[in-house]
Amino acid sequence: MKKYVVKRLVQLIPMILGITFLTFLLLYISPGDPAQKRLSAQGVAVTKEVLAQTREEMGLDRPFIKQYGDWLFHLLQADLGLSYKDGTPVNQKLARGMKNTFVLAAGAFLLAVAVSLPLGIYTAVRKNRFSDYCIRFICFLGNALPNFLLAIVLMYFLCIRINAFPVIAKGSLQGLFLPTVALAFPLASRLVRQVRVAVLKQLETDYVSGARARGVKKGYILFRNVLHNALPSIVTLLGLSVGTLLGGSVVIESIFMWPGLGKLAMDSITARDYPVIQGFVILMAVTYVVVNLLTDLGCRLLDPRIKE
Amino acid sequence: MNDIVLSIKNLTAGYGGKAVVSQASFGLDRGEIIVVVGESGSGKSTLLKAILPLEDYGVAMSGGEIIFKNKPLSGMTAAEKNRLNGRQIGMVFQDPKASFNPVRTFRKQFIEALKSHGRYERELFEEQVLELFRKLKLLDGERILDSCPYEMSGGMNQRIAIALAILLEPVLLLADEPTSALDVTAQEQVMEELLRIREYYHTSMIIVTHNIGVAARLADKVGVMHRGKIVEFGAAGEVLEHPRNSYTKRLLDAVPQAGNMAEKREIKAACYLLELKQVGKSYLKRRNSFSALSQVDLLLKPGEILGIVGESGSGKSTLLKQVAGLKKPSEGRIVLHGKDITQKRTNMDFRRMQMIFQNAYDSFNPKLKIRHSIAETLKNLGGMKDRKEVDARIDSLMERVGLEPYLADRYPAELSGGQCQRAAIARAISVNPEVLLCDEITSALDVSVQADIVKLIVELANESGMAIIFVSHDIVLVSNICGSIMVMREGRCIEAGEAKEVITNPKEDYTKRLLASARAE
Repeated sequence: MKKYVVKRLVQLIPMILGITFLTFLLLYISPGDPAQKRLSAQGVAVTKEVLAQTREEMGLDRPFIKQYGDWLFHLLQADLGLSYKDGTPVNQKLARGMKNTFVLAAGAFLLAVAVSLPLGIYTAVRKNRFSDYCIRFICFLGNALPNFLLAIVLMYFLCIRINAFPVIAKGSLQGLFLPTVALAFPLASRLVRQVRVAVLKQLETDYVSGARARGVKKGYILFRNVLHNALPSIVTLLGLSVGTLLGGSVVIESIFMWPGLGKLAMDSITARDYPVIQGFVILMAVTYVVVNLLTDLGCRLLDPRIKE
Repeated sequence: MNDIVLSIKNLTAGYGGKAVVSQASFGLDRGEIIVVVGESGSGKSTLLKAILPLEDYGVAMSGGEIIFKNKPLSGMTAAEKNRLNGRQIGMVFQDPKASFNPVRTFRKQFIEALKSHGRYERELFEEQVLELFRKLKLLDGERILDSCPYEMSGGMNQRIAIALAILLEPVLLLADEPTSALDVTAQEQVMEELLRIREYYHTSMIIVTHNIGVAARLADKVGVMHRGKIVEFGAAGEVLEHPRNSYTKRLLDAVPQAGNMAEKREIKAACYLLELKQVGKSYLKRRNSFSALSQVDLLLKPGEILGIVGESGSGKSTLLKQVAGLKKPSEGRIVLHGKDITQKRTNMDFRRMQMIFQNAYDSFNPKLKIRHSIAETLKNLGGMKDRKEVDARIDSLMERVGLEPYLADRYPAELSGGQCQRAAIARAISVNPEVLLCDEITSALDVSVQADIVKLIVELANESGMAIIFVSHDIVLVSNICGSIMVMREGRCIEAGEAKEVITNPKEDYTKRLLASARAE
């Protein structure tokens, strides 16, 4: 196991290098001159001389590889440069946003898991009964609704009609409730269905009939055997859902004005604030890669058959 | 020995109103073994499912009575029935891996079963289980308990499943094809175990099987089922030696007999059609090279029928895959018509060798009609373009293999196992191959169907002069049709020669063992 972990960590290095390279390249070839952008953001009158000087200051006149190497060198020291918009260090901005996004995403994730695990198991056990149909119908709706629509509907009824929650979350605890729900509901809907399938697949295996024929109690069968064997697939699904969650948070944070990474990214994109966008993409990619690694390790721990 | 454990009177049962078993009656004494034989679809498994009241089977009794220890099952509440499971009636399934959760240690699963019946005592557990294992000659009990089922062979799993069933001390043990998924050696061990259990615990058993050999070995009484009815029932010796019912006679006739040796065909051709020289295949397994096949030589003349015998894992299927070109050998050479085809094959080479697989359903694309699948082969390898010509050819092929041409317009799942295998044969011979490779083509089929398929293959070979390589685990079957035999074990060819010579005068111990266990059946 130890060897495997080391091996996987070593494999991460070229992957992350690749990510940084692509991120840098994408922004390098995208239209718009950052120097001009910075100058106009600072309200300086843009003349040719000033522009050339700023470009030199920012290192934009050097060859691509050199720029990339330089940037990578700073990145390794956790220095992502300064924001074009207001000159604050990018890592400070990201750190602030990350804290808020983590609170939101973790809350939504926990809520979704707490709801979908029991419901998924319940619907699997009560397959094709009335309660199963009801829950599956609601999940169908949750899957079909885009989260921004749900967010707006929730906002309309709970914030404007009955005024129970603030429209703009702005980092308050009470404001956190609606974005969490808007983020968790579609996720939970999908997870319920996936957990249900994973559990059903196990329930339909022959070893369950074997245990029943032996007269093994239902509780033992469901919780010690079926659920245990379904866990690797459930853990994989949870790992994959982190990506959806992070993507969803971009939209939800912008709608509720939650000062997280997602909102930061949206704002930076509209302002062409390249260093911040680069930082955001790298942070997301690394998070995703690490979550995937953890998922794989978890599955290996749960299922002794995964060896090679 | 005279107390009746179970009596069944005029039992009619089935799924959703459709009777699969009708008017079955028999009685079972304590310590008695009844074996029910029949082909697939005869209703023998449904009979077992009607006796063991597991809710999810969906088997409903629509008439008659099942009386277990003087109590009718139909009068019991669901809770009472549930209490029978395991404690009074034990069940053993066909697929040995199926009875256990593959990733949970045997110890935990044993404890679970005992606890569910309130019979678990921590201090006694180990001793109790090891004692049982000793009686059943399951060696190394401690190690078994701490292993997971996925780490064990099918045979071991089956024996442990039987041991666990017995641990709960049931009065009646039901077994659904307990040996069919196992090798001959493992089959032998399971049968011995069942007999030992009867000796020690006087457990009554109903065993369902399609294997007449198993019936002959185990049964006190034999019931023969056909289309849901028990057509013959009586003492084992009586039924198997002097069958009265015409269906029983047909069933027994279809079983391959050791005496029927194939005629050695005169083969005039001087040169060899196919030559394998020192062919081997090894896989990397955790940095160690694992050799699935090593140094196999094989010579095949045109029109020759060669049988390859061995148990699962002996490398016989691997060998066939190398020959067919589905896998490349790691060493050695394969020569067809004097041309080395080890590395590269043309369409012509593929056309010359066609393969038929064990599972006919899996060898067809389930979403394509049979006609479509055969047409694909005709177009790709046969070079036939004209649609009418292709259709006509398919119709004549279907007739040649004994199928009505309209069956070609069905999907594989709409055919029976035997029909589907015939269609697979039709596809294989559609391009007039020179070598037909048959990989256990009858082992998923009933004996009477098996006999027909084998007859068809031999007829086709005689007609067209095709050479055949016939791979099977059944040495008797192979000796019935093949002129020469090759015995494989652990990836090596350990004995080869003329069929008569190998059968009557085997040199290797292993071949002798294979023959002995085949004769015991």
